[in-house]
Amino acid sequence: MDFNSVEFVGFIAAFFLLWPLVRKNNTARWTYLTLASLVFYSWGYLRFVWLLLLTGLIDYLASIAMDRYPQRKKLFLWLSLGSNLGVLALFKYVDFIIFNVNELMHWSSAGSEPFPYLRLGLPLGISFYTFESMSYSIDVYRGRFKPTYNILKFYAFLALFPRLAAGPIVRASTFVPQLDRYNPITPLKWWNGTRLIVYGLFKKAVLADQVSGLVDEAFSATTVSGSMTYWWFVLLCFGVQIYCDFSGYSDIGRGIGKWMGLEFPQNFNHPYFSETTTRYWQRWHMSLMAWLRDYVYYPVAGKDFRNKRRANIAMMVTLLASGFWHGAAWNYLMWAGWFAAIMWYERLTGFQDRLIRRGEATRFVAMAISFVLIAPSGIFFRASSVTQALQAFGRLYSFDITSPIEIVKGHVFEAGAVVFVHARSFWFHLKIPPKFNRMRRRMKLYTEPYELAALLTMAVFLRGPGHGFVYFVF
Amino acid sequence: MKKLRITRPVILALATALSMALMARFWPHKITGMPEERWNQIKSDWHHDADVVILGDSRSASDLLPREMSSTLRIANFAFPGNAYLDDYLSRGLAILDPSAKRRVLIIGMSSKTLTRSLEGWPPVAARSWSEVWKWRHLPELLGVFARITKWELVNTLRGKPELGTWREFRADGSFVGGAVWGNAGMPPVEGARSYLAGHAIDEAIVAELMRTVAKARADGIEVYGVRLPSSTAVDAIEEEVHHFSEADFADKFRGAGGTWITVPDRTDYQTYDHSHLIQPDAERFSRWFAEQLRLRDP
Repeated sequence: MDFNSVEFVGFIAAFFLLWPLVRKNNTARWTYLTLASLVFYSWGYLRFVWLLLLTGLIDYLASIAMDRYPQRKKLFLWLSLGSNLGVLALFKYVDFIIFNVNELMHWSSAGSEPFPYLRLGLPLGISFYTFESMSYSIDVYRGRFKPTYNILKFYAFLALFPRLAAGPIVRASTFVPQLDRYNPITPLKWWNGTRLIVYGLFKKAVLADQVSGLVDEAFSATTVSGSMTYWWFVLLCFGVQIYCDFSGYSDIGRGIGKWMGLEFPQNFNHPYFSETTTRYWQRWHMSLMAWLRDYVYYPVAGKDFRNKRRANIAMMVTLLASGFWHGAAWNYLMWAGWFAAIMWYERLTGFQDRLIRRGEATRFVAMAISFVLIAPSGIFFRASSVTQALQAFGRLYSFDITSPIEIVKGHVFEAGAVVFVHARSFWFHLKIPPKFNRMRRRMKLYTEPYELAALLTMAVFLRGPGHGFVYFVF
Repeated sequence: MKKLRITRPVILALATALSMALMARFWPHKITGMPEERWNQIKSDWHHDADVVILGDSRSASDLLPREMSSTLRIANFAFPGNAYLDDYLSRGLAILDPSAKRRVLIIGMSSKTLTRSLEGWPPVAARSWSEVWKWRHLPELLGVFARITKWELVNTLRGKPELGTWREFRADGSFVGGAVWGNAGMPPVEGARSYLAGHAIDEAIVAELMRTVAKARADGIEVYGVRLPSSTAVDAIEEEVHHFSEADFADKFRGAGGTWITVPDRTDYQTYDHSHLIQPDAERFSRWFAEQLRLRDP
């Protein structure tokens, strides 16, 4: 069920109609959250509900076993990790492996029949909930918190619908305690939640969905054509699409969480205005990056932070894991490779770091350099094949230049969306005098209801022709 | 301050209701007729209830208007914008013909794009959940109020030319009529069509599947007619240059499969509003002429 659908409006209205009746009693609240989340998940993915329940059940039992039999907890941890990674491998990566084996056989002229694909389909949010489930088991293993013995509470954590399909990926040790009691909702919390929901809807329906047409058209062609200027414009639009689509989803999820009295971590923080690629990764899909940092990077890098060789290896492994997390295709690995290359370049030269230290103006130069380095990665992320990615990448540096004014004239709205998103981030990074900021905040108290009403109306009437959320396929 | 925090949600609710009501009521240039989603849903429900079925892309949907073609035969225009002759589309189209009808006619509307693999699936039916179908079947009026406004309508209105742009009226018989007022700017350039077609070559597998369908339909006693729908001279030239689409060659293949090819004598006799779709009076005239060729029109 998409957050920007009529179905979801009905679902959320029904959910909050009954919520006051159950929210104060723990068992009633957990049961209600679990049932509502299963209804949400079943809407278009009924055939995969069993998988969510089964992987959850294995982790629930493994965590209890770790608590009961601490001397064998390593065994139960491997059982939990094995089941999660096994499910991911089966549903997400098996066809990719079969494809590569078939290609190898074809090249080597082995002559045998190619292996048939399983085509099991991709369960909604599988990469998100398996990572959360693994974080639960690992945190129990590390003794960060005591596992719950109540299965309803466990499923209320694992399947919670506002973040089930596309995150933010919460950490069990910080989130599960929030479920222990009902956190009363103040008018301020409610208002903050509403603001996030409206911003999220606007980002998704108006900005992301309106620019998606141009991006889809550019990447739907079987042979890539178009000038260098056109492809840089497509890249800018794709940047806006993916950012507004994904951060819009996260905002809506966080807003609904606030309405329930729950706090989800922030997932985006104006990533395109990052001074270095490392800082970009601290602001883009922050919950995944925090997960990878804690469960992949730190264990590989070890405790000696001065060991640069090991830190570089850890960076490569983390980026590789991030690439694989996003999808089973070579272009995602190329995407990870691109980031590895620019992060290495940044570590070797330290050029942007020097610019940051020099002053405010040069800090923005560092941001511009980072943006130019990061933006082409979108080609590998969006392309449907390696061939298409390489062709489009070639167009970016073809020096076949057409007038940008002509392109903008033909895509006024898309250009407007690009300018709007970047201007907002630029404004965020400007150092505004505190006096002006205080005045702005006071004024916002009066103007904000009208601003949100306008954004909500635009999200309904000026919504684009786009469809589901991009990150639903991961 | 505390009072303000309590009244803010009320102000938000009232302001939202007011702005939505104003948008729904006074927006100058909303798409007329039924919303496109409802139109898709109606067509997706068709099964065994037509004497004549029209297949194709937006050109077929806009240039072959059932209400101009016959008042006695049940004609279903099963064409969709951006469509291609993929296997699942052809089989769904054939299933609309009523097996007990005295005369069963299949009309294949051609543009070279319908022979490309520009679609990965057939969008109006693919990935439609039951709730998607249900809501457009049972709440069309309510959802119609919130039909989206296209960005062109917005841009044109913001530029102070609310009359400028395209419009479409979607009809329950599966067709749509459309038009545009382009003002001093003239028609949009055709270069967009060139680059789009350049990215999608004609797929011989689709051509072969289409011919197999024609042959099978003929074997089942269905009359099958094909026609290359009129478009502007510029687009005709692009189709021939980029796609190497030759109407004569394609017509030969079509006849070879057992179908009857109808050649439009003077393609320049019909005016388009955007190079691809006929203006309403010409679409009506073309539909009448075509129906006469097939002897569909009432005696």
